[in-house]
Amino acid sequence: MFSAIYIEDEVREHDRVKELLERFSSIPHIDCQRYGEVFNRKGQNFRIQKKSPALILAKKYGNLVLPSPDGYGFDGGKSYYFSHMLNCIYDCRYCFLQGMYRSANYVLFVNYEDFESQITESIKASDGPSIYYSGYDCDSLAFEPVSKFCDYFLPVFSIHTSAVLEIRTKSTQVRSLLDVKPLPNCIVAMSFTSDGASLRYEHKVPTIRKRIEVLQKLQQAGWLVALRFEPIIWDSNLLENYHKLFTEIFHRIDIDFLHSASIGEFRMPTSFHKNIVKLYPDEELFAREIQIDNGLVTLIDKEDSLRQLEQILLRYIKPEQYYRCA
Amino acid sequence: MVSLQNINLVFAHKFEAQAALDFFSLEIVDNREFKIYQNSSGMQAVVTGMGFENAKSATAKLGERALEIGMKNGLNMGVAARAWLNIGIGGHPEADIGSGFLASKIIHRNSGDTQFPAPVLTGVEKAAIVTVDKPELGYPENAVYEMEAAGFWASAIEYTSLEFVQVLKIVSDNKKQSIDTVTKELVVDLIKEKLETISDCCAQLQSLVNEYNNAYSLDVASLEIIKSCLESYHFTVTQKIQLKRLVQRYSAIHLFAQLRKIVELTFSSSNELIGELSKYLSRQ
Repeated sequence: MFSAIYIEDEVREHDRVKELLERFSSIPHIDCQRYGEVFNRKGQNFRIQKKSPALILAKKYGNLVLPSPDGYGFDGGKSYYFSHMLNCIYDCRYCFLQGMYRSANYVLFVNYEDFESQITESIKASDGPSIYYSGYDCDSLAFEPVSKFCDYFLPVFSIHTSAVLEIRTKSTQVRSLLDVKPLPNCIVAMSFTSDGASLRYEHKVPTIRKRIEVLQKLQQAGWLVALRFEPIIWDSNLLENYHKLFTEIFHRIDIDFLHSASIGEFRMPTSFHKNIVKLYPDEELFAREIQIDNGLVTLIDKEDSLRQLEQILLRYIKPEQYYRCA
Repeated sequence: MVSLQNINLVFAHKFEAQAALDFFSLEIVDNREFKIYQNSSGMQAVVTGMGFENAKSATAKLGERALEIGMKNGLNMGVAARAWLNIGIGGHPEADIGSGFLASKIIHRNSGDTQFPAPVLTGVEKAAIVTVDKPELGYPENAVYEMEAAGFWASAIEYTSLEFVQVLKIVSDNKKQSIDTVTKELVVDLIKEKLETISDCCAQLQSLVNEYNNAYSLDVASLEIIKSCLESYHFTVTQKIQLKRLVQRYSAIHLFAQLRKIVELTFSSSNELIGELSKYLSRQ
């Protein structure tokens, strides 16, 4: 599963770390002072490392709960994100993480207790409802068997009912959700691209069919689910492909119990895009013409496909269920 | 045996090198400052002499040499990456004589600097390596003690991505069998017994480097197009980079036939050619 486990001195004696080291005793365990010694070094190659990533167990300091970027999520109060993990076990070619980090190793911040106390502080400081996104710098559910993220954080949000937790994922690892009573303030938001795009760009990701099945199971168990159609990557059959995807999904998902659906185009900061072009000079997606606006790279949408796609989606869902991810 | 054309081996002493030089048919090609070896497939090796500084200088020397050869063979459009393996003996408190360890970290005792080779190789146990200035007789930590790995690392990472820089140490002494028992014959034998492991590490590195080079090097057809452009027009360094990226983009988008057509046209300058190549892509 990992090529090695690096352990920050600071967390050596942490119970969560001891448990993981015992569980993965056959993998080399390597001590380090700070995770940056391994993760942030110059001269690494993300693409090569992705073939045999290591796990780094570390402690996160400072602001652990941050305001989410403008337009990241749905309306409903102040929104924040927190990242207990950096990097993802999947290998989606379009992912901005490839351009954001120098290393493909997974960093798991094990000081969940500190995250909890900052989340609690933030909830208490909010006047009204607040939203907390997990899965911005990783896929929270995909690593669940190792991270036990849900085991820890669902009880936190079960106490704070004015706060909403969105777990953004492409994973089918939902046992930890199905084993417990659904939380009305927790949303499992599944990301999708069209079938063609998924086959082409989403490596190691569960199939669309399996993801839909899992959403169905979650809905049947009483969990709120949401749909995130992003990133939209233009191709000649875009509308037709998404029409097919929407049909497949909405044939199985109960729309009345759908929290929300969103569409977001392919986008990332210019510096990340530049890094990814160097990493994948042979990749068609990064050879395409781009436009840069306010430091953000997007692909050129010559036919206003995004608007047309929204119109198709709105045939299936209510307008109040939809938002466009900026 | 698989071709190991992109592998650089670094040894401190000729007795550490001897068995591997024979095994890989490496022959001396430079006998001046450091002894440098090469075989017909392109694998190279250097014998550095003892200690951090020698290891650092000799590794840099081999790096420069490999770079020069790469430049001569290409069009100055990026040199094929090479992987580096430092092979040598070392002392360990507990491990059996003849045990092999890949470095999980390299601690330079003198400076306190610590480096972490990427764990990309499998099949060999990992251990911390401590580079010391004088032989360590007390073996205070659970690590392999030796005198060159940190110097080797400091130079090798200047020439390649750090995943391709690895250190393999074979235990020659421990608490039960002190360093005094280490003879030239023992060193030669220890390395000889580990040739299969060395060969396997080289093969794994070569395979990774092949993937890397396939991803980042231009294919023959692209190089030919660039060559013809460079022969027809004058390009500045920046323009060469632009041209390379444009050729990569045409190739990635499967517009190579169109690229050929455009390149065959006549332009007044390299600037005009680059402009036309860019314009065509923007219309796609």
